[in-house]
Amino acid sequence: MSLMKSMVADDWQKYIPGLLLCVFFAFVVMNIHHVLAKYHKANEASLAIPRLEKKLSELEAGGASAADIKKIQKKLAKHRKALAKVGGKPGDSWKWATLLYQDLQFKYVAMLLIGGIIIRNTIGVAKIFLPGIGIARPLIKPGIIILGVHYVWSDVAKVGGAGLILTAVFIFGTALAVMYLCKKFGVSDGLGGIMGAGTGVCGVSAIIATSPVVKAKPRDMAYAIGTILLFGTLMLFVMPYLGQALDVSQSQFGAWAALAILNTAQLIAAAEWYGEDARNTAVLINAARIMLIPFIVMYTVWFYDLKENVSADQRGLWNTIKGKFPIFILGFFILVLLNSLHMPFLGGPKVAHTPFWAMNAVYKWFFALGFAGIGLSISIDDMKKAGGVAFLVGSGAATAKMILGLVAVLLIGSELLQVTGGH
Amino acid sequence: MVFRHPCSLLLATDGEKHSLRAEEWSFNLATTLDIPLTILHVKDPYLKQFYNEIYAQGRREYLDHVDMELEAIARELEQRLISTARKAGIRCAFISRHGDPLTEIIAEVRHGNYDLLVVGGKRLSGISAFRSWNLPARLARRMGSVSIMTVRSMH
Amino acid sequence: MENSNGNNTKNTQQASEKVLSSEKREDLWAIIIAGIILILCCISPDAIYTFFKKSLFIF
Repeated sequence: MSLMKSMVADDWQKYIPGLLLCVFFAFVVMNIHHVLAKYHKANEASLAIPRLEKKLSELEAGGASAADIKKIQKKLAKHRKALAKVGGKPGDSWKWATLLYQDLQFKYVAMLLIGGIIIRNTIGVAKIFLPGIGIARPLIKPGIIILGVHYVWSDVAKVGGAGLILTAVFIFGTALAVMYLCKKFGVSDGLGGIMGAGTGVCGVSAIIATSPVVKAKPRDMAYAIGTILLFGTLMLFVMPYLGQALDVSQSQFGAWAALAILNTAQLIAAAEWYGEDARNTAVLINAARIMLIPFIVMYTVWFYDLKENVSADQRGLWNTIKGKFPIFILGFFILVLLNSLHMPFLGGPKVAHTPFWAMNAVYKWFFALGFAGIGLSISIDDMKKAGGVAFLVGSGAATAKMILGLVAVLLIGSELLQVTGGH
Repeated sequence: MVFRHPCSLLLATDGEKHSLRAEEWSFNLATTLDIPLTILHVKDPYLKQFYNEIYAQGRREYLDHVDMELEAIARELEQRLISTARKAGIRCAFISRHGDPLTEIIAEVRHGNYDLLVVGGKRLSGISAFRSWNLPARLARRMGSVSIMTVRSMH
Repeated sequence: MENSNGNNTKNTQQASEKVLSSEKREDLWAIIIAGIILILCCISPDAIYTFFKKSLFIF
């Protein structure tokens, strides 16, 4: 009974208004996304149908194989269905939908984040909604767990393994470089510690985990959090467009984002925005990355020789892992395990009428709710607090990670970073 | 014409660099006018809102740490300012509030019977003007009949 | 020289206690929600698929 009670916050009622706001916001945006996608597909179909019809008649006249003809017929049927959904006919044009959906990448992620930021920073969000908006953000977690159905153990070993090595090198490389430089230039241990951890792994989450250990000062923390939020938001909006401009492949983008974008939610958002394969790679590398949080705390304690700052019951490898390990990631790996066992009754994300196929339809809604919460939480005033040495350190580390990360994923190539899902 | 002699002075300070001159000014004013000085420090829990950042681990330790640091800053400030006031022979009280600085300073101004509020302010121009929350300007808009003096820092 | 709203300090400390290990609670809820979805999808995959892929899109 007490366990049940401890699972619910005493003041749970205060979360309801904000949560409902996020549900409404996500619902509206998902529907707009759906309409845009529908008209974009109809626009493509309208252009493709005459071409395919011509090709089909040529094939039929030329006595092509039945398989080739069937292939074209199948494509035609798909396009006709897309066109029928909007009640259009070949030759009709919905260029605006293609412009918004494909060229400008105005998908649900962008709409929720940009829309959320605009709402929060113009008309504002009433205080009554704030607790619920905060609680909507972690709803990304069930979404991430559900995404476990996209992977098999060989993916975890290949992409996760490569990702783990990459992230470990980048995380500890950044942390070591930042902490060393801060120490050399006389920056306080508190600021150096949180900036090292923050720019190394998971941004604000790492600052929260390390600031009590390094006894960071409130002013330094505000500077550091502001800087991390500022660069996270910048990267989130810049990287998908930069990736497209540089023609970075989906899987490479996923890995690049996982190396360069500090805040996990922003990383998932950028990758989901870029495409499905980018998201699959990013989520897996991120799973590897967040498991490193306990180690970055331990590393910080070791670097600054702060053992006496940590209470006795939290010292040592096991206690740190127990205290700082994000256990929800175990749920993700359980689903990966179930998917890897290839149990026929569970099916797969692409096997129609199976449980995993149905689960694949759900995750986007959790992401939408989470992104609604994230968008509505991004306050420009918080980012304005970026400043001081933290800003210099943060901008240097963020730029270096972005460039070196891109070089690393381009050198590795798409193959090693591609999630197969067992197919 | 009869001038009413001011009878109480409120100094709002966070102890940061940009408030140091405001502290000096209010001590000088209190001495010159021979009136009591009330020092207000607001413990701003701003940082606490980040505790539930997704994936954040060790949230309780984080919140405790913020509390401890805010307490330590308040204590240090109280000791420093009270000893300076005593040395200067100023009648002085130290008040500490917890919450949003703008709301709490206004609440204290309304709650007490003050003639003048003294606050420190940064020199703002260009990008820094855009980036600053500009507390003195916000206070000035909501002070009612109480006067406000913003002492600009030298930096 | 006294603390005029010392109660506030107390409140803050109480707030800290309340969120005791809220990250663990959050993680457990994430696992529970995903588990419930898995069970529902096992019971009726078509209904779940139709609801999330079709019914929720009203336009």
